Amino acid sequence: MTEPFEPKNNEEGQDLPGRSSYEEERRADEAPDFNKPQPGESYADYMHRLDRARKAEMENLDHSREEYWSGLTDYGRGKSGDPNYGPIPEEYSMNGMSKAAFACGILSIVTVFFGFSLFFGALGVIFALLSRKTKFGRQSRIALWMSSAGIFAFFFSLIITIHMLVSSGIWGRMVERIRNMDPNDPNAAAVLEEQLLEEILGTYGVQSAPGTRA
Amino acid sequence: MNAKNRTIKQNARQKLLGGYSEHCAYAILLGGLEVLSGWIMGLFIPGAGMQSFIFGLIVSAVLQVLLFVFYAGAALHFLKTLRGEPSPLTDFIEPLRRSADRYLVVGLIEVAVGYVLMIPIYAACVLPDRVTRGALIFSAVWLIAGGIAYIVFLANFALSIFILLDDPAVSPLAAMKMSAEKMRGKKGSFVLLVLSFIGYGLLVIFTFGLGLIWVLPYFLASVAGFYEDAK
Repeated sequence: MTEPFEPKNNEEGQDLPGRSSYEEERRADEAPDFNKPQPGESYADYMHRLDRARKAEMENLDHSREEYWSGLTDYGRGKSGDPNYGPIPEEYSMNGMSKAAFACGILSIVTVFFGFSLFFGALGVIFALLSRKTKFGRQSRIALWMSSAGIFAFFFSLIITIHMLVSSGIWGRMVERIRNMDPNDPNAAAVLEEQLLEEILGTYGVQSAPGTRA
Repeated sequence: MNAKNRTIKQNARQKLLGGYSEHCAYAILLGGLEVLSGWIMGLFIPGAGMQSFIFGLIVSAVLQVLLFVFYAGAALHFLKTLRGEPSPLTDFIEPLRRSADRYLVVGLIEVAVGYVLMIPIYAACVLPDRVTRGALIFSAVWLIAGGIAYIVFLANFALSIFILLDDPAVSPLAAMKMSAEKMRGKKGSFVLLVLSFIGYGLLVIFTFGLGLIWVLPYFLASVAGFYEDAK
């Protein structure tokens, strides 16, 4: 059924108030349909664009944005003729999370000898796991490995330390002291800590170089 | 973890990416309120003894019910995030401003059931002066059985908060009933979704709780995604 004719201009050709003008309708008709090949666009460019749109749709990206469809920024890497033309492969794209994961991964390795590797390693693993969209990106995967290595190093050093304390007998003596400790003594923990330090320094402490002692 | 849960979590991750400053603000606010409630609870427990213990339990329950309203605010934020809608930080107090009583009723029921389930353990282990081995074994068995029953109970009504957020006209009890209907045949899947965060929980412990700032948004968005899927 056709709509009844309603004049949108008066007899002088001026727009009537409250109605869309022919000019507005013409502009709406001429708005580019990004699903079709654009003027001057080669078939290869058009197919590339559609391919990127499909990929974006799969990744739940905001493909309704004009910037995306015209391939200017954000999701693609420029237009045909650019050296790296085409969509950014997932493994090369970095978000804030993967950057944070990478930083924590490095810190977890660096701080192995200061005892913070577990903290930074766990944070790095959390960030790496949260940074993936469908699969791990390259940076996230590296960050995950580094953070895991930091966590592993922490537990490894912990086991080695406990083994050394047990084998030297310090562990047993400290357990005995804790058993005999007065629970009401407010300084008990501090005294225990001091004794432990003395024991460790006495057993593994830096010794004077030969010949320097009087 | 089944394929549907994997998709729900993947979708939650994708929607959260790029807006973590806001999501983390919600997690920090919730964490801050939890710490504050713990501090208030400490103020109200004067010392050892039966009376102070019961008083402490009541204060703790009241604070948990009050916190439930703020969890509803966070749930609103993550529901909007999943739907791609803008969510200002004021959403945190939105349930408090509009019909807070509805959320308080649901929170009260959920918290009360949890505390009632704990009564036998308190009676066996906490209140007597001397704890016997039999009481310990009973408590352990009750903790496991009661824990499972409570998880099933919570799974039944896990969606009630989202139903209340989506429909301002629905009453709290009707929302709980609707949630139970929606969760029919999906409780196992929901429990699996929650259990899939155990690994994250372990990592959060390693970070002395700091990791919760990022993991809590992911968890809440995943639960919101489960609601969207079950709707």
